[in-house]
Amino acid sequence: MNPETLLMRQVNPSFIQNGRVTSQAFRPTPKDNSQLSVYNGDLIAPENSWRHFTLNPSCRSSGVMAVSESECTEQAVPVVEDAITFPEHAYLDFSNMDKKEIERKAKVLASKAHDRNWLYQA
Amino acid sequence: MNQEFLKPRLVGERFNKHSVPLELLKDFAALEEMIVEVAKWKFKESHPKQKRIPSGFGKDLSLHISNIEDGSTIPVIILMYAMNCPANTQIFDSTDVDYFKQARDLVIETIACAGQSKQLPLPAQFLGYFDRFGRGLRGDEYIEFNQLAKLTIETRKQLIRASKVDEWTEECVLKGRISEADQSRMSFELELKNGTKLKAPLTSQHLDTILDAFKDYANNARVAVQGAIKKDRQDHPKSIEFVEHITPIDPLDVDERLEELGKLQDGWLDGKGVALNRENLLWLVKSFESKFDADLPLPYLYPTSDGNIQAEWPIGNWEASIEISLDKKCAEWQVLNLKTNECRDLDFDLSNDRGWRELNLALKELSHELDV
Repeated sequence: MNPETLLMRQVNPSFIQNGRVTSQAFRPTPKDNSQLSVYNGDLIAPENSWRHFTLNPSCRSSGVMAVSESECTEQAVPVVEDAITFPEHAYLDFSNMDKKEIERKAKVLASKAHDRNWLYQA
Repeated sequence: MNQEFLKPRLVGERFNKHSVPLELLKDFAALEEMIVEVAKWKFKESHPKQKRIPSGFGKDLSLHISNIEDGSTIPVIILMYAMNCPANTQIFDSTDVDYFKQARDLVIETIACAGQSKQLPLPAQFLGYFDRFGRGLRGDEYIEFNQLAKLTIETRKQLIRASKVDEWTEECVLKGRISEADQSRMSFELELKNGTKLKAPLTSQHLDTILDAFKDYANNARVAVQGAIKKDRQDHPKSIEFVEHITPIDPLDVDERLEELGKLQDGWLDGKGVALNRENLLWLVKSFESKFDADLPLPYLYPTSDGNIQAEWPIGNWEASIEISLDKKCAEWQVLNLKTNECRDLDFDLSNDRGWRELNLALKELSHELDV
């Protein structure tokens, strides 16, 4: 992984309104243990990440957006390579941050991802 | 010259102020037509040897609303003699009146029987009048004639199904895109979200709105069409019979978006998202309608994983959001300037007007900063 590595997020259809994606797509839910799952863009292409994700029938995705490793570092959000869940899995670590701080960082990350636009749309 | 004929009670929120909405008058006009036709039928039954109904039958009689009484709303309907009758004529001189009364009683009895799923005393050919009488009722409204005879939306449906008509109409609001507009035939096509396309007549007063929405079809421009929709016996929409109002829908329309989010089921987010409570969503729709400043931009609305709502406003370099706890009716506001990193956090109590005023003010300040 290097600073340009893209960390890809699957975007749930309900997290899109009129083409705009909510910042929630870039923050962990309370059940995520402060870890936001991403696909390591060095190891998998956007479309393949979407195919892999949607193999699980309870997982729906309208497409793939991404932030770079350096954008996470700028926000002091550590990126953890976690090949245990599956080889291309990584996560953004929001632990030790309070809710407001997570929300603030998610807004910045979402804005970066919007600027980059969709990497893949189903 | 006249006598009290019928005192139906209108029940429902619209009637709480003891008045009759004008749009319901056409329902009562249909009731009058039904009573006249049933009266003629009763006359024929009583005179089996007579080949024709007298040409002047019922001609001098008509039904009028003379007064509105309290008790929800009770229009007093009177039977009135025509103005050109001799001054000394008394209404009870007319034998036609008896048939009008028989017809009235039969219509009321038919409604009561429909409510109790009993055999209907009125022949099927008269039941088609219920296509128009009762069409203006909404939701849980009903017209009560006596304790047993209540014309509800459900009773009306039963009566229409028992009639000989293959199609019937219902007043409603439909939302969709304009997929076709034909100025030579003066018609348009409304495409519903499920892909169903309904033909509708195009009138000059709606022409501009329809053409604008048609041009913007590819951009998902949507309109709300209020009017009468024709349905088949299986309750499937077939076409739009007439259009009363057409309103362009804001792409961020709160009502429509929350209606969509209300359909989410448990597990919507990777198997974990919690469904949103519909009653709470209704509260939010009403609050946005009545308490959110109309000058402000509408928010983007998203569900949260725990069954609440996040509203977001991108305003210039500012990203504003509120996370609304639907149960507690409170919200956490956060606004971040993406250029300067300036961030403000606030809490609003949206269970009262003050909280909504604070939200409006916070958004106005952002818009103002944008203007400066």
